Amino acid sequence: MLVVLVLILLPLIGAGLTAWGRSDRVNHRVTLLVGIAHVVASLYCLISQQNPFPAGWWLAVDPLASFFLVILSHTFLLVSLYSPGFLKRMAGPEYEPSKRLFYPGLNFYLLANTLVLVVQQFALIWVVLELTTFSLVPLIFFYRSRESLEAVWKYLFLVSLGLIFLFVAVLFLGVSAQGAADYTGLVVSRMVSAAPQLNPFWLKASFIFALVGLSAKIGLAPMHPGDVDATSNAPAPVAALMAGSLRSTAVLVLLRFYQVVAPTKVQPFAQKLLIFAGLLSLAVAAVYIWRNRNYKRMLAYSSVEHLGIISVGLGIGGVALLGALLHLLFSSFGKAALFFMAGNIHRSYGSREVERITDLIRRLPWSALVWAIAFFYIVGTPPFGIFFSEVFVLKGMIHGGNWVSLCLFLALLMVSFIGMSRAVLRMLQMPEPGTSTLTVANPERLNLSHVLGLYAVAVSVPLALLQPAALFDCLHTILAGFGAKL
Amino acid sequence: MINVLTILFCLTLIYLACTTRLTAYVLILVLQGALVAGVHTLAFFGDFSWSHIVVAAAVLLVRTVIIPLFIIRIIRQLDLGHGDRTRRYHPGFLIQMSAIVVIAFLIANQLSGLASVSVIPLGAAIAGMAGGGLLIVRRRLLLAHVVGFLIIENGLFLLGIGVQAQMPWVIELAGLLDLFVLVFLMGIAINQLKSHFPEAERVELTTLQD
Amino acid sequence: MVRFSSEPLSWLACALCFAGAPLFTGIVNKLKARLTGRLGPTVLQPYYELLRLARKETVYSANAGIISRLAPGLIVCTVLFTTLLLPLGQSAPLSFPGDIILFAYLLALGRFFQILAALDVASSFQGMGASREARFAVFAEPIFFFTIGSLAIVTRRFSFETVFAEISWHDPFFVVFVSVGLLSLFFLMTAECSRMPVDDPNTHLELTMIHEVMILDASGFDLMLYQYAASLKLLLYCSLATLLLNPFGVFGPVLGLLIFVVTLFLLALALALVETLMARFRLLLVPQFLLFATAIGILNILIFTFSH
Repeated sequence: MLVVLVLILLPLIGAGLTAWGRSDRVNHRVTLLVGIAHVVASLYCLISQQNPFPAGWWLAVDPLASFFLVILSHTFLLVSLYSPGFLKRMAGPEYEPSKRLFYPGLNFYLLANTLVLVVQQFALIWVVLELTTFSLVPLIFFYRSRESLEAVWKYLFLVSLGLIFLFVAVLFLGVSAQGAADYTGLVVSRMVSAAPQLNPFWLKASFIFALVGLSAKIGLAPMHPGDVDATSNAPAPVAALMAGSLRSTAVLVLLRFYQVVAPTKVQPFAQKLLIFAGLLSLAVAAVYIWRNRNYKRMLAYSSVEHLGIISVGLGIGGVALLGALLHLLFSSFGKAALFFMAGNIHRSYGSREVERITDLIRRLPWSALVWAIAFFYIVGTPPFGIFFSEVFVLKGMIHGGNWVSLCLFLALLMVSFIGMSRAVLRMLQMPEPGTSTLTVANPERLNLSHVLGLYAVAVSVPLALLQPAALFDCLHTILAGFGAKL
Repeated sequence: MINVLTILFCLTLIYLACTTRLTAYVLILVLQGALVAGVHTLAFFGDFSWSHIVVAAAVLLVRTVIIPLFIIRIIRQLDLGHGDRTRRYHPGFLIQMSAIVVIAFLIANQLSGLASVSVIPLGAAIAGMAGGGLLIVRRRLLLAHVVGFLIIENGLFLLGIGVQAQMPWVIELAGLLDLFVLVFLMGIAINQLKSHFPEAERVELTTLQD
Repeated sequence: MVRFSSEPLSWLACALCFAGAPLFTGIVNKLKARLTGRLGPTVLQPYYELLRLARKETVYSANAGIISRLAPGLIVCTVLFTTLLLPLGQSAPLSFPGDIILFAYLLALGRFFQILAALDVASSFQGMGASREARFAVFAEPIFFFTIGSLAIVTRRFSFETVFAEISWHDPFFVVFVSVGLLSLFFLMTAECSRMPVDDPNTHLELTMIHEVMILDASGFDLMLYQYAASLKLLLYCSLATLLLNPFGVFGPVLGLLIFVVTLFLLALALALVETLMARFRLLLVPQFLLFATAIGILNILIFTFSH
């Protein structure tokens, strides 16, 4: 019961307190407390694998939810640790209203996401997913510039359109359940057990609409523009939050639909659709990473790429499904590190263009170091975690014999890798003689953001190599739930 | 009788394609809200229960009164004038809308062969959603985007009637609430656009590109 | 095949139409005058106009050829013949399967000769009117076919009197159809008879004329024929719209006649209101206006195809 309180009520209280509070420091302490408590609670749920909610409620923590809760809490903690440093830099009276909304927004975001993860009824999931969109609006609008306004508009709009499609999907799911023996009430567990009786035509239609609708929130092609614009125009902590946790929340909702589809005859169709969407996202991401001049947008498209990988892994199933889930976990860490460093770079150089950023190594040595390490992390260098998760996905593809997808997958990954390294290495290297007259007066000192970034990329190594039982048992349970065999 | 109301819904869509006056947009929204509420009431006319009445009343209130009033407020605050100045006269839009209505009904007819649906509400719903989408894609005025979005929502409501789904009424109310908050946020966004950047004489999306 | 009606009532009704066409125009003018606060001319004024014109001398331009001499008579004949096809009084004087198409294209023949006559005068003024008329005719034609044609397809009858006989007021679909169809036909009438908001019958400015400019050069007996043909065409289209209600079939001859007359009067009132309250549309907007009516017609077809 305590766990329930911590998970749900504490963020709510935190949002209220920070909305009332005037001092930044107090707000930060409150948010940090909420974050730590939330992490403890979600780790407890993961390790004990018990549902803390009373049985029969529409809220429950099943293995899937416990895994995603860990991702959410962890990212939130990292972001709340990074926030005070970020907010201190935003000194100026024009940021006051945004700053006042920042911590309440963060807490409300945590609340909304937690609710999405634990709600077990499809229609309620839809309602709460709308809440997450609302919670992000003040956060993305932080800079109050023309571009951030357009980004908020596009985000609000495209995501709401996507949610309309999701509503259609829930509607169709309800229609498909009308032929079932017992009344399902659109509750997940009941739908899963009644799965063979569901009308396959409506189930197919429902999954298509769910995928299209959620791709706006997940950031899959073709509905990715709102997400990309929002992520690249938001302040660094918010972008890290979105890239790390929001997409995983949306993937969870997709997985809920997939849970209902998996035991039925519609599954092959759904799998093909997922693979197609994933490859399409990879292609789009590869093109835009190649030609992008704005490094924050490049990171956003890199998120699209990684979610494409995850989608392909979900579609292949088996060990690739394990790889996809792990990839979700690891990429959220890496994205946090990358966006934190991007925030540092932006503040120092004042520009988001790759061309203007040169000589990172000399000017911001620590940021450059973490930036480089994080870059290698995110493209899948061993011994970092993403390497292992991608290997699992590839293994699944080879086992399944999807040769065409495999070739496309590898080719597109390579293109993205080359594109991204062009930008990153360019930013890091020394300038040509004669173009820069800067002598570095105060080189940057090691601060919390660097520590957080290093921690984020380092923690994946033991997780991937040692494969702790707590995490992997949970993952195996999830896989069994989907009927996937390793 | 439901079919009659849905046909009138299609008529409002076609009228939408001809007009550029902003008050016409508001009028269309009001009409559609009333029609949709009427369809909902008639669909459940047989089984009388409080939940249906509450939902119908809420739909009527939100879609016919509150949201159009809000849109009128936005129009007045932003001084948008009488018409959409970003549009030029040519009948292409009307032809596209008519094509959409035809295709929507054809699709609904095909679907009726595959599953049990009521053809005319389903056709009207698809036409509504696609028509709203057309409005969003073809117009650059932000208010037209909001109106298109609301029309998509109206079409969505008809879709529920068309596929004969039974949604719990709490969800429908929550959906209405979400709709209202969404329009509210959009209104705030448009307001910010106008108040922070008064030099933009046309409220439209131009700067963010790749 | 071609059936001549044996009912004297239908021939009588037809004759009344021939005779009463100027009266209808006079009623419309009177209503327009009343609506703008004037007393206006008497309702019989068009008759006096026609008589006056008949007594005058016909003058032809030096450039005009044989078409200018043939056209007026031809046009009047087409309109007269078309009136024979309408079932006023439960059966048409002349009917055969497919007379719907003859209806549309007889009137098109009349329009064709009208345009030729305008071009024959060899003045650019009339040529401008001819081009405008031809352009709007393209958009107006689908309205007729989508409205009446859809009714014909659904009822599977292809002659006017049998098509209209199928309309019953019990089926709610027909009610919707009739209302929507009335709107469509009203728009069609404004286009075909050169009424507001497509064309202003009172104006003589270059910017705004369509029909008036085509007959600008006519005089005397020819002008009388043109005016008579225009007023008969107006009555024709209004009767068509009224017949959509099927008053004779549903209510019997006497009550049906009453309803018919009342509806005609209401249509005249609507026309007068439109002419008084609205300005003429920009020429660029007219195709859109007509396409709107076509779209309504398409909607009608869709409703019928997917519900029966």
